[in-house]
Amino acid sequence: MDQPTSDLLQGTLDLLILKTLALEPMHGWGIAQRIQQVSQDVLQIGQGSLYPALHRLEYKGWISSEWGASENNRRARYYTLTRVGKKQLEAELANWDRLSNAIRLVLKSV
Amino acid sequence: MLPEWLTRIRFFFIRKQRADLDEELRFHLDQLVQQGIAAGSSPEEARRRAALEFGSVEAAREQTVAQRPTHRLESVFTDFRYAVRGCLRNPTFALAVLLTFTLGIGATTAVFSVVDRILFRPLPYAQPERLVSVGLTAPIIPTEFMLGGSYYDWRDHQQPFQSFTSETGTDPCDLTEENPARLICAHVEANFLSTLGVAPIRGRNFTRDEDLPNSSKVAVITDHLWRERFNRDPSVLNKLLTLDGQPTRIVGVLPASFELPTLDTADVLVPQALDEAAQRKAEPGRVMYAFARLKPGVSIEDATKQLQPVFNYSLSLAPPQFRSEVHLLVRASATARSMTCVLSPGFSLASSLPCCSSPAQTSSAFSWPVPPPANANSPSALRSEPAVPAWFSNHSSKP
Repeated sequence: MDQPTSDLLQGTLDLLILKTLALEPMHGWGIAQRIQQVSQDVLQIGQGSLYPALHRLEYKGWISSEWGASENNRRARYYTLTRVGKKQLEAELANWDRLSNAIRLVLKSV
Repeated sequence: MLPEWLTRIRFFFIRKQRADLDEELRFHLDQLVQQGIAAGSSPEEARRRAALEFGSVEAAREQTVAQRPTHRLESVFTDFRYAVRGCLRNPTFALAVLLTFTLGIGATTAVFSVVDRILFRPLPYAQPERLVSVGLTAPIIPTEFMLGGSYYDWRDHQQPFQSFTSETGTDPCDLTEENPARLICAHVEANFLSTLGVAPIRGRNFTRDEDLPNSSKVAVITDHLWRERFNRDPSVLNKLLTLDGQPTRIVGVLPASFELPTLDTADVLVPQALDEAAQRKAEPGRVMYAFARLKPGVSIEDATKQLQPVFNYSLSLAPPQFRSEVHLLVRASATARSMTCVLSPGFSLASSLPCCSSPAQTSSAFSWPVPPPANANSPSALRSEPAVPAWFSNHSSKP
């Protein structure tokens, strides 16, 4: 059974992944853990949505991947934000700000 | 966005390894187990919980693979491969399918290529709505025609047309020189092209003098002939062809879009060079096909009315027994003529269908229609009225 965590909008998941990778290259597990910790366990990303998203972003050229050694010295696939990805992150952040501001305005007014 | 586009293209050629994805997913699962053990569970318990939390590995794999930009294309290829394999396994069925497609596409293409020219493509003439076909109709000839004698009377006395021209059909003609070839020559009056509003793309139209009998031979060739035989050589003008043994000078080349109003194919246009004086005297004279361009603002009905006097005059010269059979016809050019050729078989088929089906429909209430006795005994009624209308009127009066 899949975790009921894929309620996130797809675009939002992309944004979270890009933002997380902006700090440092990370493997899939690390990205999921980081998002879970930072969001104080609110956002739990199941592998069922994480890996499709990672591969989609890689196909778009926003992130790239290569094999490396994990903390416990296992082979793990590390993802890195590309130059195009950085630009995309800025665009998505701006878009997110605009959207959340708009939603807040609507919710306040009612 | 070029880099993104380039990256996408790159993945058309570079395929991610399935083993890589499996390893990536396994790593994730193992991390989950490790986390469980670290939290104090037994290894078995940790593995069980991890598997539960992780969910279906196969689903994750499929969803991830589906992200590949070429995924849809690949699944089409897969379907295609599957179809080919299925066909190879069942050759008889495959052959039937192939035959069905072949015949279907072939028939559709053939029908469309005819219908397209006639119904859909506009005629390549200037202001084609003003172009009409003019002539006599008689029961034995399906299309309107003119006879040499009357043509010149009509041309000299007509009012409604800006110009009036004729052609005398197409004939095979032989190119008797190096690489001999059988061509099709169309015989036209000197003002034929100018009446249609067609100008040669190279060279010129015929002059009046060239359309006189025994004048030196000239020809205007079609774009097709220019391409096939002369390889679009611009110096083709003034070249001599040996056409049916006679040296014939090429004076012009027609545009590629050119069509005869009859839609007959032709390779060469030559002046018909009729002896006008002889034709005027001849009875009945040469069969000709006349085309005319209406004066601006003149309708086909107006033209028919205005032609009535010359028509009556021609009729008065015809043998009395023909007079009631011959009628005047002016109609929109070209399409009208060829549409009758194409549509008449279909039309007669379609119009015969109700005749076939209506007795069947009414057969429960009616026995097969028998002509009423009164009509049957009267030969004159039978002769004047075909069987179906006789039965039909009986049918409608019976209830």
